[in-house]
Amino acid sequence: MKIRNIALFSGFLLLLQPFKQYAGVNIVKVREVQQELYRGNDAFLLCVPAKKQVFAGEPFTVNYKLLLSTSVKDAKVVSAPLFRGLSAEEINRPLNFKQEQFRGRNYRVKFLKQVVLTTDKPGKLILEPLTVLLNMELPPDPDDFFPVEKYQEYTLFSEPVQVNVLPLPNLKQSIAKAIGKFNINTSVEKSQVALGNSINYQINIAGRGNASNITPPDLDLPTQLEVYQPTITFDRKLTPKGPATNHLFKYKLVPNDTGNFVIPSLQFTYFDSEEGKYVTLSSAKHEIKVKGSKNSFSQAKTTLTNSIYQNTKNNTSLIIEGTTLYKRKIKFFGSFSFFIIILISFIFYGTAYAYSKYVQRIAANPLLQRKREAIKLAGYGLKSIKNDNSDVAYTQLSILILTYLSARLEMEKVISTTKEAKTMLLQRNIALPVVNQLQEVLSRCYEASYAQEARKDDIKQLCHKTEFILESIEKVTT
Amino acid sequence: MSLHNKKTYFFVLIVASFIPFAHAQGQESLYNKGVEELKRGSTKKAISIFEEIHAQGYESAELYNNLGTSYMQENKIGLAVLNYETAIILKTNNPQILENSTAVKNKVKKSSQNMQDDVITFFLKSLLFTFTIDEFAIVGINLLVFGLCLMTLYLRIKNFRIKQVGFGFLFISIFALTAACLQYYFRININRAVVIAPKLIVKNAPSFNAKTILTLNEGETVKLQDNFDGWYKVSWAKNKNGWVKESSLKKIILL
Repeated sequence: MKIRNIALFSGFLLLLQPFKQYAGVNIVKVREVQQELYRGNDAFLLCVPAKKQVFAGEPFTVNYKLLLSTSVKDAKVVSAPLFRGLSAEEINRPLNFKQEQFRGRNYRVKFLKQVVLTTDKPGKLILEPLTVLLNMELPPDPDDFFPVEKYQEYTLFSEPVQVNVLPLPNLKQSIAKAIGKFNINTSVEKSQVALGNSINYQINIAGRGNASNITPPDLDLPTQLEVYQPTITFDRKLTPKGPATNHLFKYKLVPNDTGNFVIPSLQFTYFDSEEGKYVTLSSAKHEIKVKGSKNSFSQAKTTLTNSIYQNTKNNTSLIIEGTTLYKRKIKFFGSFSFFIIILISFIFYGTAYAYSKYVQRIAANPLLQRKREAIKLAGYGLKSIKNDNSDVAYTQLSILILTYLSARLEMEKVISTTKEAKTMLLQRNIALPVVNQLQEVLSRCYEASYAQEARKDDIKQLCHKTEFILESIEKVTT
Repeated sequence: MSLHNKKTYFFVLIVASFIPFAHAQGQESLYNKGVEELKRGSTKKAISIFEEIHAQGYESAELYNNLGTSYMQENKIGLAVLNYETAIILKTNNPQILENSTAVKNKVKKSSQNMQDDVITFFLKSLLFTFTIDEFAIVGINLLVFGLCLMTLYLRIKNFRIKQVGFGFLFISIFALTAACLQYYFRININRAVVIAPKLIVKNAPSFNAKTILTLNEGETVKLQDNFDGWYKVSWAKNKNGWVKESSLKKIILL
């Protein structure tokens, strides 16, 4: 017994489960059993695997059996192994007691659990314990005047048993679809057949072991024998010796010519777990004699084919003529250009919308509109006056400055005199040098418009000065 | 250019921009050849032609239907069902394809239950597969651009009719783009497969040694739930699932 799993505490047994995982097997939940552990020789609980060494994928039976030589009133399974990570199939255990010898003594044996386990992971596999609660009869007490039957509850559990799981030898692993011990038998219904009649060819693979993955074998038949889809019968029974399987593949063969034909032998490879090697079995060959005329054949073949599917020629509704084929691969959706077009469209609309809102805001406020127009007009006006050498250019410049100032300073009336302009600018905290410069420019313009000789300043210079003044005013008033 | 001419030009421009990618004329003549071979009874030739068209990246519900018919004649029920199922997804309401599919499905021995779509999914699918993803995307993008242009124009010319048409374009474009997205999502998330092996053993865990739950027959359709180490977790009825080897199944792939 592995004492590391058990702690004896104040005369009581405390089973601490699970402590660890044994080869992928989880032991049942932590459980406290408040009964005394039985240490006598009248009862044993054994975990008996059919084999201590198995191959990966090989099914093996494990029996959990209770051996008794004394009277037991009641036996309850407290915890059963879960076999996590394994394929576990329970077998219907025998209900009756059997007699068995153990360590030189006769015991009555009761099977508590019979299970077929399969694992495909090589390594060490620990079969976890099963725990039972026994209500056992105590030996008679010599002090008792009258002999009375006394019972006491004890806990009993099986020892963990280790099973070595060996990996399958390499090579034919891919073609071997079964592990265990198998036989293959093939048979034909009759060895002589008339052309046009069908014969049944039967393959039977039976044995003991793991054979759930066997698929219908590919038949290498002569071209004169047409083969149809097989009917498959699969039977599997769990026995105490492991699973017994039986595969039956029934093929319908239709000869399309007369003569003697051979159904070649069929090969079936499996892994023999008893001998530890791959075994390839060969079935018997079968010779078939086909007699008769070709006419009878074509008639029979048509009947058979029609019985399976309708003839295409007679059932053109199955075919659809004409189609429009499309490229399956997506080219445009989700591409870079797809997203770019969406993005540009929204940016374009967003900009247009923002601009229109801005225009609307300005249109709603006449003063703002005047300001905006004043800046615009001043810009255009200065550009045209610069290149104008006519007499009216000076007058135009003075009008431009005063109009700009009226709009920019949000005056209801247009400013008409230099003095008025100066006062307004000083009120708006425009620097005195700038105001003085403006006064000077306006004076020059007036002078030049009245006196020919006063046009000593080039109009371009005056325009530059005006630009500078207007920029200074813009900076302060914005 | 007169006002009438301007209108005509604008209309032609819109219609021309909606013309989707040119369809495969050469492939369609090959398709017709395949149909002729199938009618003659040369199913193997027909299969190779149809498969060639498919391998070149083209598809249509009719192509899948005829492939299904060819495979049915070749007694490959699994592949026949697979192609009919694909055809039905592309054209949910084609009575001829539905009839053919039902005919082949009736020949399949059933271990599983029919997992049919509900009415809403059926309606949605038939609407979604009216056009291809790219066609929906092109129509959607064009309408979006035109719609936004009209809305921009409306900002300048306050004409209520322009606004109405612009909104209409935008609404249809959103519908078309949503349809493209949904179809894309649906195509990449098809989780159905057809059994192509004569018998398919379903295990309770992804291992050959696991317990066998059920045996499925060729041509049965299952829902794929999970994938692990060469095994598929499949469901063949409500709350019924198990593991099968992926080589015995063929997934319905639409992208």
